[in-house]
Amino acid sequence: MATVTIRDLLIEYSSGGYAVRPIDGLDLDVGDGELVLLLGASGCGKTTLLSALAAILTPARGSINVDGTEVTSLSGVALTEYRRHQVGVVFQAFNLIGALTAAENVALPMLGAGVKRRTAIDRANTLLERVNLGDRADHHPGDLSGGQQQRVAIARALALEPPLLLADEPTAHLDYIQVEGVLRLLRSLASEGRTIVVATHDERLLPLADRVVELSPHAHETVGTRTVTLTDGEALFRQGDEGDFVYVVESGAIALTRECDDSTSELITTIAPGRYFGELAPLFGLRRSATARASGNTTVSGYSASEFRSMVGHDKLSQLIGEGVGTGSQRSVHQLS
Amino acid sequence: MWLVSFRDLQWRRRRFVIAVISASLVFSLTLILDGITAHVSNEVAEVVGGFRADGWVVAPGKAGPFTATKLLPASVVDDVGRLPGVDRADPMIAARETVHDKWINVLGYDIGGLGEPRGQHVGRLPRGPGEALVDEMLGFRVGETIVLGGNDFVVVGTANGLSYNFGAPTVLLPIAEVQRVFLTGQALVGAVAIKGRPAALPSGLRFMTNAQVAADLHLGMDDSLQTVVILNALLWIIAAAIIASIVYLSALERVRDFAVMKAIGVSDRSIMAGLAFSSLLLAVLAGIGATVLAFALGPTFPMPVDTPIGSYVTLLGVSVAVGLLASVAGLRRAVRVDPALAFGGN
Repeated sequence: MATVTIRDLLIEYSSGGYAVRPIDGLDLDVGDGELVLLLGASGCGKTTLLSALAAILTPARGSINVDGTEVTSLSGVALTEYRRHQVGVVFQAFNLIGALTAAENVALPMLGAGVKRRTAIDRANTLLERVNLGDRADHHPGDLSGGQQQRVAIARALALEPPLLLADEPTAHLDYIQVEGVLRLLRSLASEGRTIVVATHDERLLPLADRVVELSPHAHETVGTRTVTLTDGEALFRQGDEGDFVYVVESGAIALTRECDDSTSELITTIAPGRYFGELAPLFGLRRSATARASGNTTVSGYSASEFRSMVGHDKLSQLIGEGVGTGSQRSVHQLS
Repeated sequence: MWLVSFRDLQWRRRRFVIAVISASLVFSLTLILDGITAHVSNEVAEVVGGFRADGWVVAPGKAGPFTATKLLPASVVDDVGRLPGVDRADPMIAARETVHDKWINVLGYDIGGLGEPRGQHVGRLPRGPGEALVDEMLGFRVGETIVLGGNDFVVVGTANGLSYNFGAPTVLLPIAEVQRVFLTGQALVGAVAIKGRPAALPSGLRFMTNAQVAADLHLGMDDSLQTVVILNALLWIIAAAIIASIVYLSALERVRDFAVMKAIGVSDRSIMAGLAFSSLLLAVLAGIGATVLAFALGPTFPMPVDTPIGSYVTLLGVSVAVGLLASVAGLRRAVRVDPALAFGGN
């Protein structure tokens, strides 16, 4: 069993030269023996969070504490020991080694930890029996179905009896029959008292969980309009914020900038009066992909996603989105408002 | 973690076998070239040592007894033999001839004197006119006839290891026969082989030690030997490149495997040891294969291949070094693999 405490976690990485923060300011507590689902759409940071829990990815800020071990400060031998004994990982793509048999794949963490080969293979066979694959011990991954490979991957994750088990999209490559077997297995492992964190976007797994953590930004159903007055340089919203309103510049100007991975900012465009910006985040429930700052004293009007839709009309919406920020269409939006 | 590497080699066995065979062939060529180089060095020592002389008296100039084109009157032999410090003096002469479209050496020696072969031979030594002792490399059998300078000679004996001048076989004749056939009967000699050491020589004569004679014989072969040495070095590089490319390709293809291994707590050191094991196994098997191939291919070469035992031992040692060196690129790649690659759906 393991307790997991995450505080003020910020994970940042570089993508195409820009700084991306899939996790920003996350707090999370997972108790002993809990089965927690990290739910959210692709790109919301589920796998990133699992990587950090597995001590594979180092966060930019915050702490991850597993049973008293501060994971973010581990290095060298301590890091290797943590990966071996504290946490087991079931990867989305199974990631079994093709050259090894099922038993050898399961024995791999033990061999890496210095367990003698005979002992490791015996224990691997026991684990394969436990996941109902005792008769497939000598098969190579290529000879196993997706569900069987996933069960071998789970057996491998359990090889050194880690108290914390992480599973990344465990049902992603499985048909519904195979999903059933994997779900039963995960539930039974949790029932034994093991702490399990599962990242998924598959809502069929909801009944499995003791707790569900929603990682997608909440699409706040904002209503009405708002008018905001900004002084020069003041931020309207920042990159990574949740999307709320679609804005139209009434007077002054808005500079849209994107944070680069070298801590500098890059100006994307400047929005002049009568033009709209920031529509994708509220419409699609995404985080802001840029920072908006006033250039001079500026006034903007904010419209909720539903109001923006009704102003534009469903037919024109996809066309406007395709045209992007700063096209002539925004004047009509302004006129509609 | 050798098990993982071993299984990976089994998994990619076709490629592994091809790599072992390729590297074996290259390694075997290095052994054969070593053998040729060794033979060339050995044959010079053997032909010079075969005269059992302490030194040589030759005509002025730079050439030695086996390369001289400037001859001495036969009377010089007696003159030298009477010099203080000289215990014995015997004449010798060297000539070139073609037999079976091959250049051969013809050596004339005094019957019963220095230069008469003492080593093992089949048949007997020449005792008079029209008789020859022939190098086994020429393929003559005792009783057959060899034509030298348009004259027939009966092969009365054959012997091994008489070659020099980069493996050219040698025919030994009584010196009078060489003078008759190649010098139209003139009483000239190429050099005087002596026992002892003359305190001084009359003007018009020059003294050479055995080492100087050997160096003189090597002189014409230095460029050829240097070429062989360069070729050998290139072959080592090719063998290393074969092993390196296989190990590196394997490392590239196993990037995801390495990422997974790191993510589940296998140390970098274990991964590197496994990769180095693959490389070493490939190199050592190639070394063993090369030894077998060298034994099989050596006799098919037109000139003798005397690969020293030391070369085989060196090959194994060097192949281990080559294997480790060749694995460096793969090791660097493996160490740089980010375990985060294990996550994701591909």
